[in-house]
Amino acid sequence: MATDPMKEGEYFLPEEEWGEVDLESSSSPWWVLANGVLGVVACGLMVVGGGGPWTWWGALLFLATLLSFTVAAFRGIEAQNRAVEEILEEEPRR
Amino acid sequence: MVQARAELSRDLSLFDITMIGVGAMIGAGIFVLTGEAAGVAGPALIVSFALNGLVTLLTAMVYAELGSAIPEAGGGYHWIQEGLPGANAFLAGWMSWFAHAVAGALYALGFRAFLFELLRLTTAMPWDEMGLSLSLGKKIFGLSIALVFAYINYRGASETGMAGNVVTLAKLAVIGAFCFFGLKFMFFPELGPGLGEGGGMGLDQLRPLIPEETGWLGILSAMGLTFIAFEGYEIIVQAGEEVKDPRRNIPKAIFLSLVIVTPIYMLVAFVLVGATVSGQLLEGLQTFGSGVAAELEPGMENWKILRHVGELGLARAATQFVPFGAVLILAGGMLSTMSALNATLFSSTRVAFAMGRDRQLPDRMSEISTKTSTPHFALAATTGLVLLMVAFVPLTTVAAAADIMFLLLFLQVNVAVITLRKKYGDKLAYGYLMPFYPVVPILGIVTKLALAVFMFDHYPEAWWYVLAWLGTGGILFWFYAREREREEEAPRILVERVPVEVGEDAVCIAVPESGSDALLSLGARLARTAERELLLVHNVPVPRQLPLRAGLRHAKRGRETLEEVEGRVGRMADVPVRSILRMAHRPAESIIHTVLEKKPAFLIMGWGGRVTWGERLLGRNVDRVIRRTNCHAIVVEQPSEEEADRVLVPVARPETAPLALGVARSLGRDVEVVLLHLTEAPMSEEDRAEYRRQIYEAISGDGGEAPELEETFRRMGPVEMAFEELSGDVASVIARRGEDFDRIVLGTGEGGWLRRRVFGEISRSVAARAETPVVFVRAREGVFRFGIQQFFQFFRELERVGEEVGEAAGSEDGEG
Repeated sequence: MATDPMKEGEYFLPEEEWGEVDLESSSSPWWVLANGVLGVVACGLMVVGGGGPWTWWGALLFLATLLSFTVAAFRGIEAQNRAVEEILEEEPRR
Repeated sequence: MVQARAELSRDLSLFDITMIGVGAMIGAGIFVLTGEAAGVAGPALIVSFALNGLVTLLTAMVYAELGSAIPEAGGGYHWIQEGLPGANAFLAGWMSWFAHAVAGALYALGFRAFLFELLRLTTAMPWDEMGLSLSLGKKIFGLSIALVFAYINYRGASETGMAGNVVTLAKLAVIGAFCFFGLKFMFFPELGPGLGEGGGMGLDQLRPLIPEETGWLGILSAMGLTFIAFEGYEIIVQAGEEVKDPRRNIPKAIFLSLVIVTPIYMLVAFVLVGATVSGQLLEGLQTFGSGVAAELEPGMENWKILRHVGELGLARAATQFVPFGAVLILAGGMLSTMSALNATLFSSTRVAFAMGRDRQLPDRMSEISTKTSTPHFALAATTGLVLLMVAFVPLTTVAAAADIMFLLLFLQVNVAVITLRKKYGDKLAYGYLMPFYPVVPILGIVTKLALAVFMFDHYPEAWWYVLAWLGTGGILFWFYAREREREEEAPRILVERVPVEVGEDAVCIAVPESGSDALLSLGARLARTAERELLLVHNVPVPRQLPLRAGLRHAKRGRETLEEVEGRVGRMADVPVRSILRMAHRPAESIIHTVLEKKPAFLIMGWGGRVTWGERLLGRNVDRVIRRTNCHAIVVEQPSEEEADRVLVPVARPETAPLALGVARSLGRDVEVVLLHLTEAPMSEEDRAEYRRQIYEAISGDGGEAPELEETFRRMGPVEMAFEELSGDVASVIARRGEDFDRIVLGTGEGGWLRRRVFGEISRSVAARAETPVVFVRAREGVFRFGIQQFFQFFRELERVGEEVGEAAGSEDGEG
């Protein structure tokens, strides 16, 4: 039988879960938003500083923001995967 | 009978896949383009890198979401194919193919520049007086480099796993040295010997951050030029099918690689512009006879001079403050561009192959060479593209053209994520969901589009190449691919997925293509004796150049092999049989994964019967499986199809005897087993009796190291024992005694476990000398002992670097 590569790849949740799952991100939106705003502010500081102290504070803030964003993303990934694993474990093994 | 399940053997960990991403990024971005970009933006290059990091994060979130949900080898191309209608998929593949090929041309040009600079520094040849011939020589050299790597790809090399990790770590070390010595030169020149004049300039050269001459346009221009340095996450998702736990590891690797490279880029820009003394740069230009030097004045800002130094900017800067700086940076640059050229040829060939497979390009593109198992036509076409770019297009234009292509490709992916959410909604098992959907992809589309359009203003010639390529693609789609896509109705592969439930402690057989009867009958007898299930594992090898899913083409043949083998086993013994069909780049990985997942008590493998070189004992695959798994492992020398009547079992320690005896008994019906104990000194009758007692105690007690075979031992009755005084080296004596037998069963037991590692030096020597086929038996280790072995094994893994180089050279082991 011909198979759809998407089905072949087993990328789908069990059919009974369709329509039941929340498509909200597991990353904290406020955390991500704060990081985004701070990232832009940091770049702004770098420019406004003109090579003076504010530039370098801006650069440090940017790096801290990048790190913080990654932590938020990792937490989101873990939370999302736990949720998916719960769903998949509930599915009886075929 | 349950049909075999087709599974892909995933062998890339989070670390591996992150290193692939970092390795793909740290190539052109730092070594080739930083000098050029510094000349465009001045000290504000730091801001350009930061902004590029921000812009990239937007699309990285999209890639993380799609990569976690649909980890297909095609990456962006596949998602666009799924999510966007009509010509989009064709154009995505068409652009992706070109973008990677152009990136390959960029790396070939970079490599050429680095090697010439290295030769100029280290040889006395008057390179600078060679005029036109030098320019022609450079061109020929660049073409040759591209051809060499095309050939390496043709032979089947790829850069993943340990070898790739080592190359990436080496690049990071070189960049680390550049930054460390640069910072020291800027802030603490008094510490340690100074190399060049000057130093201690602190932040002076970084003011003003945005020079009047360049302004915001300079920042944007540098962003466009260096955007290619951030596209490594495309390579991460292209390896998606090979990643362990892809739902978790792909998004993590994407974010990790960005959080690693963005600060590195910013720091390198900081050091390059902050520490380089312009006078010395200018001297370098004058000394090496560059015509543009006349336009430059001593005392002008260093970044203005860097513009003229181009791709050698980093190397020339390093001569001022890094010990052996030029050589170090040039070597690092060559390593980077070399590995990046290899990787881009690899990925662009995969895209062309996928397009051929999807009937968007001629079928020949998906044709696999029977000699090297690589998609040779796709590779030849890709190489042709690279050669054209190397021969006729300047480096900056090549870089800009690749950037524009990637920007357009990412733009399409940002659109595709929106349509895919609409199409599949919550049906997909996402490992990461981006927040603020659809704001993030819309911002991604806007920023990518803005950068691409901006580049038209600064690099119009690059845009002409892009437009010409897109125009050709459009014509090709309309008059050729569209019709072929419509015709594409035939099923690509027959696959049914039936999960295999196997109880632990099964008897597992690694089934070779021939489905050897010797392995099957041994496995069937062991399974019957130990009252276990029989698990058959068959591997469909997939060339490293191809995505694992390409192996599904051959799944039908693999499944037929398994079905035929299941039938044979059914006739041999009435035991429950389960089968697994796996696709793997390395045969060893599919066996290792099966053992780790299904935890069989016994693993039976065949061996080609040739003793291999160096540290290897039974060949790359068998050795790797034995080292990384912990179960009773039995390796049967092939060909040894006939059942055994008489088997010799040399034994040193009584506790190792039961497993070897159990296996020996299972090599045929009513096998006569002779247990041979070799001694250095004559043994008294009392000592022999005591040794016999110990052997029987081990067998009749708890079965020693093989409690699973208790039933065999109960039925075994008395075992004939022979004692012999050593009259030469142990291996020769065993080989000689073995001449009267049908098999020799060799167990572990000689020497300390650290020394013997797999089966022992003696086993190796016996295998080399004996005419009689040998069966190797290794008992399962205790958990603690196996843990310690694995700890030391970590260091042994470095050996894989050499092995992968060996693979690249196409060496064969002759193992079964």
